[in-house]
Amino acid sequence: MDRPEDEIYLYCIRRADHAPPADLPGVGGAPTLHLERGELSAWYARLPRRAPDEAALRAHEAVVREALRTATPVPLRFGMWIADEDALAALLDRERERFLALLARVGGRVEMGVRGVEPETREAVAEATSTATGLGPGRAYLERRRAALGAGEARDARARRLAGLVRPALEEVAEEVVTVLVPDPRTIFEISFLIARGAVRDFRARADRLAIPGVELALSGPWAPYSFVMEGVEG
Amino acid sequence: MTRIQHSEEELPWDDGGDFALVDLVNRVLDRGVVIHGSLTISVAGVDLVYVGLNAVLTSVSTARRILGIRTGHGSTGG
Repeated sequence: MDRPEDEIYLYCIRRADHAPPADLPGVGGAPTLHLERGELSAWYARLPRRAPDEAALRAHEAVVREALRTATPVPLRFGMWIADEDALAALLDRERERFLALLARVGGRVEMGVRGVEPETREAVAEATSTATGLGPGRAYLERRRAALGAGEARDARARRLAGLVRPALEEVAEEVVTVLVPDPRTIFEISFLIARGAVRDFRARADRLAIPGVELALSGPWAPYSFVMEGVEG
Repeated sequence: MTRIQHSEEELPWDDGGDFALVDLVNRVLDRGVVIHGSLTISVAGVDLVYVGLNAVLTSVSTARRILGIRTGHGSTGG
């Protein structure tokens, strides 16, 4: 029975070759449904819109990962709600070529991540307050911005150099690579690689052989290709 | 030219440990396809998200703080 407060929560778009398993609870414990339009299929849930929490993030990825098992889907960002199944069908029809192009780009591939972190915590920028420096709040703000930019430039150069020590060894098995420098104060770089599904073991073996002095490497994946489908479509 | 998708053998999941929360958050909150006019909208190039039905629009970084998700320190666990 459709409740008036229900909305559609979207997980991913894929080719209409596999339905979600019957026992796959997702966000809010709601069952995972699918809607097919031609050669496309959307995996979704139907429930009242709810505030996000960590469990919901994990549930989103659990459903996307289940889709990834059978064939690489185009994952949606967390938090994509639309009104109802009619709107979903209209979305698939309207953006059919975009989704097919994205599926062609990532088909047969998965994403692997390599994150470089500081072996020990270091603060990159000291916090300055107007009270401590005796400056007015506006001037203190500008001083903080100037200090942050200076530290940022040096930090980015170091991040670029260290990321450059990691990329070449792994680029060989990758179709595409995305590098993010200093996404947060404790992460030096984060590199995502789009690789063939059959290359995961080879990629892991190569990553395990890497040893960069002063950097701790954290490997993750396989993921659905979140980093390689970063596009917006009209709802 | 169409690429023929053969039936795939199982992906080698690294289930020796759960993935780090920061790796999950970086992907599902910041990446993936976005439906405009949906939960996330852009104002002056800044992506904003609803944190709740009655909540004020906020940035992704603020949403992380509200969710209590730390995005640094350590390579494993949450």
